[in-house]
Amino acid sequence: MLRFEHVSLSYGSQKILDDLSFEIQEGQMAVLIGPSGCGKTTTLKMINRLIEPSAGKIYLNEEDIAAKDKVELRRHIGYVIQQIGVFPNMTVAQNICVVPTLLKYSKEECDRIVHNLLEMVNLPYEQYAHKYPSEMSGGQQQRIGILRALAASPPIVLMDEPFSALDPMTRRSLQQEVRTLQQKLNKTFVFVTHDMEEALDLADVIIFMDHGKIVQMAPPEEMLAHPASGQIQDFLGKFIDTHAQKELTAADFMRSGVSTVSANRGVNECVSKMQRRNVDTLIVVDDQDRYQGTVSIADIRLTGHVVKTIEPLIRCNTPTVHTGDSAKDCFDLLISSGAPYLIVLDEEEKVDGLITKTSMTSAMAEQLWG
Amino acid sequence: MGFLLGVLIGILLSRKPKLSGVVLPILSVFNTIPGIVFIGLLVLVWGAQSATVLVALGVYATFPVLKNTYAGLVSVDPQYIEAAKGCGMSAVQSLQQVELPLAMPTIIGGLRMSTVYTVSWAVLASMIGGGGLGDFIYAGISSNDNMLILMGAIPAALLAFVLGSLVDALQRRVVPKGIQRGGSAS
Repeated sequence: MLRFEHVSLSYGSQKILDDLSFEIQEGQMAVLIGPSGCGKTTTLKMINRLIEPSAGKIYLNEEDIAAKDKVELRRHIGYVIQQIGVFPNMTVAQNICVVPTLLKYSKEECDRIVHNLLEMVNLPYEQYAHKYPSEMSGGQQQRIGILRALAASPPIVLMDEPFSALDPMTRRSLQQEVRTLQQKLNKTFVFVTHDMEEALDLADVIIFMDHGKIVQMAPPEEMLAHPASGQIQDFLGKFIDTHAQKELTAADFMRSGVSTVSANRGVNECVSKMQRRNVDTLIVVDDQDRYQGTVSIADIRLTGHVVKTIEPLIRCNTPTVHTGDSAKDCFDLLISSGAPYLIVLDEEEKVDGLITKTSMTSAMAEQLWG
Repeated sequence: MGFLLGVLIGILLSRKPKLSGVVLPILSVFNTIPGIVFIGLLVLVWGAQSATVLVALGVYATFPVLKNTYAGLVSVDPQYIEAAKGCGMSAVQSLQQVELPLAMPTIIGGLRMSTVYTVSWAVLASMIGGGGLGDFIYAGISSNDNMLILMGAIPAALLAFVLGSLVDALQRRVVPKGIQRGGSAS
């Protein structure tokens, strides 16, 4: 759909963009993000040739955009700017129809477009079509700005920090609307922002830039799971924890340093160990430290006088999990089994730790509040 | 006449920042030469006829319009120009559909100024033999005839008033509704 091939831009000796190559698929919402001055807006403006690269080629639907007429090209690319830029000398309807009028659509066609689009964002035609931008709120104005970009149904829409001038509430609802519009119309969007939350919410693919280069290009989930640099991690900031929760395993939730006892130990030794540690159960391992089961003080009291070692008293009724198991499954098991704890084993079936309700709670608290 | 010329030159200058850097200071020097002196100079060259006065007034009417057209176009918020460009408007379309309408209040302000100048200088022009309503006033003052003064003054005042209303009417017509607000003289 959209492909950059070794695109560079320099003013004098200063490199603004440094050998950019990437491709955006049809129907994707691609979000360009990065610190200010990273070249994200410049990259965007190259797509509709408001800025020309000093080297490299940009292909839109396999056509080199440098070979096309600039004005004609822009009429087939939607463009939404940060400062809204809805023309104050035109009514809402006229603003929406700027591009269709330039493309010489018939008046009826324009009318139909205005009707459809206003309906899509829940602004009643009768009430709004003939208003002037100065009579509307900033959020409504930017809605019109977005509709203007969509009016001639261009295959690709560019948005340059479209919501940064709006208050957080309006921003949220407009983000939702843009996402719905994008999915409904199945258009390719290229969206510039410096707001990671916005990027994570909207993007199919995030392109993280710095110093005119792409640091990482990945879907949001992948970026969260494997940020390519410390800088991206900083940008992801608080999102990284909450989103990474699904990645947690039993190992994150367990209490380690569990004391075990060998199966060939005598009953008395176990009892005294229990007393010392103030517990009612011990975990039994074989001579290679592999998990065997548990032995409880109740069993020892009952039958301890007829056996020498604890081996015959071992029970295997405590549920076990492995270190790599997902934390959520462990949690479910702990609750549903009614067992006081789970025993966590590593790959060699050695005891690695315990998951108790207390260890689970404190691990969750740590995830939640850091 | 002066108005059209003013708008045209104003547009030209606003397109070419280098040119305007040279031309505008020169123009403002000219503008400070009192109109009457300029008329006088032209009379010396072309003789005292009404055509001379008309040309002189035309040139003077150009200045305020020109300056305001330039100022109006230059002060159009760049966001609108970028939006127009991004929508695929050619330079002419952007000027015609976006920049001129937005600059219109300022341009009209210039027109109003030039109207006022023109009427007042037209009256003064008679002092140096240019003819017109000023003749009556001048003759009235010198012969101490109040009637004669009024005969010149009242039509001159009416003329100013009528032209002023015309400018107002024009303003209502050409300034886009979306950006109309109270008075917009500059």
